[in-house]
Amino acid sequence: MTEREKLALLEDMLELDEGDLTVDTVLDDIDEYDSMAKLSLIVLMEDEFDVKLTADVIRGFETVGDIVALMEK
Amino acid sequence: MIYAENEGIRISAIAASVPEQVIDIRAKLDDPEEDPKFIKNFMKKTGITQIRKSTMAQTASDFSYTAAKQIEAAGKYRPEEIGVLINITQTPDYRTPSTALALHKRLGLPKDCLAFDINLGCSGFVYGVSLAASLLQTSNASKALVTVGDTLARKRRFPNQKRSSNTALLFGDACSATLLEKAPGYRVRTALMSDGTGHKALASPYNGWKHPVGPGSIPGDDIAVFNFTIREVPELIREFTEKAGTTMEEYDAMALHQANMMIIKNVAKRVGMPMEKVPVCLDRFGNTSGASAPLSLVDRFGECGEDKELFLIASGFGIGLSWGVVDFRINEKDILPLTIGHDTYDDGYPDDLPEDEE
Repeated sequence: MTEREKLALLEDMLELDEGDLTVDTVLDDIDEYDSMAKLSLIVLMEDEFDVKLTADVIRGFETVGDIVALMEK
Repeated sequence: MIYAENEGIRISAIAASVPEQVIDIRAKLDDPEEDPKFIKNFMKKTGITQIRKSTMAQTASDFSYTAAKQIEAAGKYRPEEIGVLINITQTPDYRTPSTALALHKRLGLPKDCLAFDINLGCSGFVYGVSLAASLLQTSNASKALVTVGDTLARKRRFPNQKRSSNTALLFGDACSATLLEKAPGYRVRTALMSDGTGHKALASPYNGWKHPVGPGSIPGDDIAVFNFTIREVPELIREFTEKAGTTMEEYDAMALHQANMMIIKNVAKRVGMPMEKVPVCLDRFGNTSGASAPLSLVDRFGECGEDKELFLIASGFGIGLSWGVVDFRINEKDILPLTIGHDTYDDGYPDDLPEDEE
């Protein structure tokens, strides 16, 4: 999976337009990245990448790139 | 898991009761006091568009009473037959005694009856059914009533807050009553689990004996609870069906605690149950705590009333952390239509006494 495809998965999850996200996008700047979106992220990472996110790991995310780095596929 | 097969026991009626007052969350979009973006986002993410909210004149025990009386009026029990009354609530009427005792009086139950409360939330229905089934099996009691429910939408005191918060819209008020009885050829199977390391994930730690003063509720750890739910609950359901020797195809429906749509869909998907067989009432009633699984059955089957046996599986999970699964057979006509609770109880205590200085 390319980096763009991984970003597209996150854009789809957050209901953003294609190309809205880059690896440098700061998560705090994304209105849609709220508490419910974090739950969607848990499901996405577990279903697509077999990565189990804990609350501490999610709290540590600063940029979109921090999430993409865990998407190994 | 703590697994039990209660042979010779069946669930012979399920009823549920809700307040008349409907809080229409969609209408809040036009309310100048509210943030429309927050309201829109809340509805989209949770799937909740309405909740039922009790007035200050009623408490959970009033809705439990209405549901229990509905089962009696349907001819399913006479008060003198009830040997077990278990009331499960987080919003009891009193610090002491158990609200079950006030219900015992109101329902006209006999002295040959054990009655007590259990402080559990979203796992309440499964825990109540499990305990009542095992008590029936090991005693001379012939019928048991389990009432479950909370009024989490109604505040303890009159609220000052005008703008809605997540929790103000998430929880709806509802209670259920379930009748169990001895019945050869039937069985109720249950599996229960607890994890006290999560006791702080969802909690109201104040106003008890340890922290006598403080807010009514504190924010929960949503992520920890969500992770617990989508991992532990499907695993327990799989373990339970393996032990019971059943498959998802055999069940006519799976009643899940109505936490939010994302959780319902994920648990269903992970155990391989199609959503058509998962009753959803969350959209119109919100998260109704321990009563939500039986309420979803009442909502789906209560008006059908066909003389046809259903094989059901149900799961409750949440605060504690506490979770469980139950499966049972019940005739569709024994799942009664939803009632609006109008009952109230004047216990005679004055409300204008001053707080004491200890």
